[in-house]
Amino acid sequence: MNLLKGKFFEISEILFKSLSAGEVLSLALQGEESFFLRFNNSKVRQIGEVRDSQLHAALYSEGRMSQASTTSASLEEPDISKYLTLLDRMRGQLSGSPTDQLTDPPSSSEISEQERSGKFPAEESSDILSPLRGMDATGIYAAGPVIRAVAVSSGAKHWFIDRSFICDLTLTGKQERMIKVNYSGRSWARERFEELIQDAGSHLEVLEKEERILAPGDYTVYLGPRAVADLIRMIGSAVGEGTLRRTPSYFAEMREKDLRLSNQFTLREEFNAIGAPRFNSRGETAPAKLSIIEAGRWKNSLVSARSAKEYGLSGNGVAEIECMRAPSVEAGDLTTESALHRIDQGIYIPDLHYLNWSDPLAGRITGMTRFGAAWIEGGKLKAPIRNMRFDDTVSRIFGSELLGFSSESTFEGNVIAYENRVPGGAITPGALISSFRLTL
Amino acid sequence: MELKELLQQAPSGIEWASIRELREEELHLRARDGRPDQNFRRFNHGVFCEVLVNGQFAYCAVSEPTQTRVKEAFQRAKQLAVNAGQFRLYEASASLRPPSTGSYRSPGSSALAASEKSLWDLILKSSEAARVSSRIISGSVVLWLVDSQSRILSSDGGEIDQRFHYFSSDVSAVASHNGEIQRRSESGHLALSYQGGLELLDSEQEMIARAQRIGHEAEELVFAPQCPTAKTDLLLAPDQMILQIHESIGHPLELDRILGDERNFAGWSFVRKEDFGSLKYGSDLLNISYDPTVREEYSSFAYDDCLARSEKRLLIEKGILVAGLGGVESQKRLGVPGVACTRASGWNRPPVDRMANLNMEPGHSTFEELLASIESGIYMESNRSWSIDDYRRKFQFGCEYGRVIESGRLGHVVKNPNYHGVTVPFWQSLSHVGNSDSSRVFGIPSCGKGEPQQMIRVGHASPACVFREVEVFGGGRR
Repeated sequence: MNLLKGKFFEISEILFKSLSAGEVLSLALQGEESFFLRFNNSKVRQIGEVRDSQLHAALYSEGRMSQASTTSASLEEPDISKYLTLLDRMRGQLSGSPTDQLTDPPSSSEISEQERSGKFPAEESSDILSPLRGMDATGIYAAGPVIRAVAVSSGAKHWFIDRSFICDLTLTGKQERMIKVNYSGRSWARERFEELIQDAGSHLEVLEKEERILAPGDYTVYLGPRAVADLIRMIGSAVGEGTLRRTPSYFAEMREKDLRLSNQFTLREEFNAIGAPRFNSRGETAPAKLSIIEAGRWKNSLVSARSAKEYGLSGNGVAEIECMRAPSVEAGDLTTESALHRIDQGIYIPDLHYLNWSDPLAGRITGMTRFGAAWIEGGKLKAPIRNMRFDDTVSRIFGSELLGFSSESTFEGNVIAYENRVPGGAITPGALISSFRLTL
Repeated sequence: MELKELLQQAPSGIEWASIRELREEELHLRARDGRPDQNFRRFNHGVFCEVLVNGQFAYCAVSEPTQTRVKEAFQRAKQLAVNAGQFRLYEASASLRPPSTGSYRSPGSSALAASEKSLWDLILKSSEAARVSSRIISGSVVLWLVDSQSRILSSDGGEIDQRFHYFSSDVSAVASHNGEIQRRSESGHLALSYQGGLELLDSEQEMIARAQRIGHEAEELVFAPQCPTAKTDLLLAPDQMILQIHESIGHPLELDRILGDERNFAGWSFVRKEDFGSLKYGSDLLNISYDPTVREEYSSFAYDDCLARSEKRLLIEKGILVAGLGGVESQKRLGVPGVACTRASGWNRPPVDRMANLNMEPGHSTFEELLASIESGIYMESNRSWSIDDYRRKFQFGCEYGRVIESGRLGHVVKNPNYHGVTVPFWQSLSHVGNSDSSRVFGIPSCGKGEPQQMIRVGHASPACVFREVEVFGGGRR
């Protein structure tokens, strides 16, 4: 699939010229050409490619709004009549819709362009699987360009292409001990991949010792960067203005009563560091950096245009669903080694699994330990633990019980690809927690 | 261009090819507090081109197929299959895609034919009706209507045409009082999801009644005490049973999971090949069926996406595990019995083993008898939180609404009811199963697994059930 910037904006102009007086139209293109290699036992389980292009449109007129999306084919030979037909259907949708006081047609005229090139394997299984020969590796390699583009009849134009790869896999050793490896970026280096596999293999050797079974209780833990990222993704989906106002929300209380988390905890949107597109489907650009929580204090919710109008606030260029797109936690001053050395008896938790809110008003999250969790004694990893359930609160994990963050942060690209691949990811350090509740 | 002509774009030098086409139109309407909140229509069209070369399947999926795009897609699929050859996991054959011919039609007529104005009138009024008092800070109503057509043609004569109407609705309300905020919905997020159309649309009177009930129950919750912490007897309503079944029976029985395919993402399973025919999964009262034939249930169909004919089958019979959730490919790889359930979420994902409709067969107890069997316990309704480990053993669920049970009677309401447990001991503690009078059918629109990930529709039916000596607890900060 060839996706051309010029063609997209050309099509947009044709559609904008067909608008009637008072109509405002925004168009958002979402596309990818993705190679997927799924493997089990270091062999090909499923292999294929997806060439997908979808056009999302929002039409505003006389205090009403309608939205539609359609799959589209190559922009090289666009079927303009199809898009004009879609526009007519949206007009029909509008005529059947009630007026909406919260409708706020976009007025952005911002312009941006960002193209990130990449060099990585895109068809040969051997590039990925040869280094894994002889191991039991399960996972996915996904690679290729991802496009996001927006054009608004008010003048906004944004174009973004990210050519990247992600290789997310699990190595399984003896006695079903498992360790995760994630290699993502834009330039594939086989040596780096092999180094990551080798490091993981060393950790796996520790995990192949006899498993410790723990009793429920409070433990000192070191959460690895990926475990912190798992928690941050939960928080990142709960800091929208609509969520604070209209659902049971710990962060609403945090804001209203100036409740404090640890002054070591700073959570921001950092678009430049993470490489996610800053614009939304209305053509508005989010600030390159936006503090959500700064030194433990609440700073900003994510405010969509709709929430801005409803609650009399200023929008901050977020998407309609008001979730973080480029979460980054500020690093601390502990090295990973020193953090582990501070644990006389405790647990190293590199990954968490299946998190959910057990009480969103209390900020309480439950989930499981997963890959590579190990018992620490005298600052050293001694043995794997049988996976345990935790149920603990944001106010303890990133508040009263937080001892510090590591100085090393890790960027992990977005692994989750329901419907389509999503550019961006998260940057998180590890976290030393003095008391973390395990319940089952 | 006709699908047959598109299939003819498959190149030479391959053993087998198929093309799976999906066309969908959907309408999402949401009203909040008497105002429109979402007005979205989606058109989705694409094809999944699959080939078999030297015992290796490969695919290339494209949106908006044209002759050129499909030809290129088949070429690409062939190239990928050839490149993968030396790293093949197993030797596939065309027998894994049987050349079935047939069709399926959902009951009812398309709800997309309804006038949008009438739909808006209905949901605007009912979202207002949920605001039964000033304590209700938000009342919402959702309608989600989908028409979907899936067609598959294969080079050895397979031809499937299945057409679906899906209908989902939900009413929810959020109440607030003195810093306590609680949300109440109808049976959990979009659980009222079915196959069908306009005939499922309630009248204005019925919708308003639904909304008012939800509003009142949200108010009850903000005044309710926390669910107590205890090891006690638990009576689960059908709209929580569906998540219990889904997470601790459905997923662990997926054969591709048992084969280890999902270890990196969705997880493995504690179930092993040797457990089929022998594992005592639950008490003698536990009977679980895979049933794609219940007409209105969300995930009914006639053929899976690998062209295999799908039929009802018991997976757990009187507590013993007898069959798994895996299609022809997984059955062959693992060597255990399964069902035709290999499906993809859409045209842009390859099919994997899925639950479809997974139901608990009704027992013999009336709801009153279920209650009477409990001296002291908790009743829970409507899932709001779910979590389980990657082997599907240790789970925790939270519900929206609970009530204490004392001396066989329902008592006062409790908020934030949660419970946790371990799968097999939990199902072995099943002591009573409701009869068909308490049995309800629900849907889950967003079951996720696979790499790349995909979300699919599944259905669950269950009566209310009693479990003994379960650890329950409430919410709040520590």
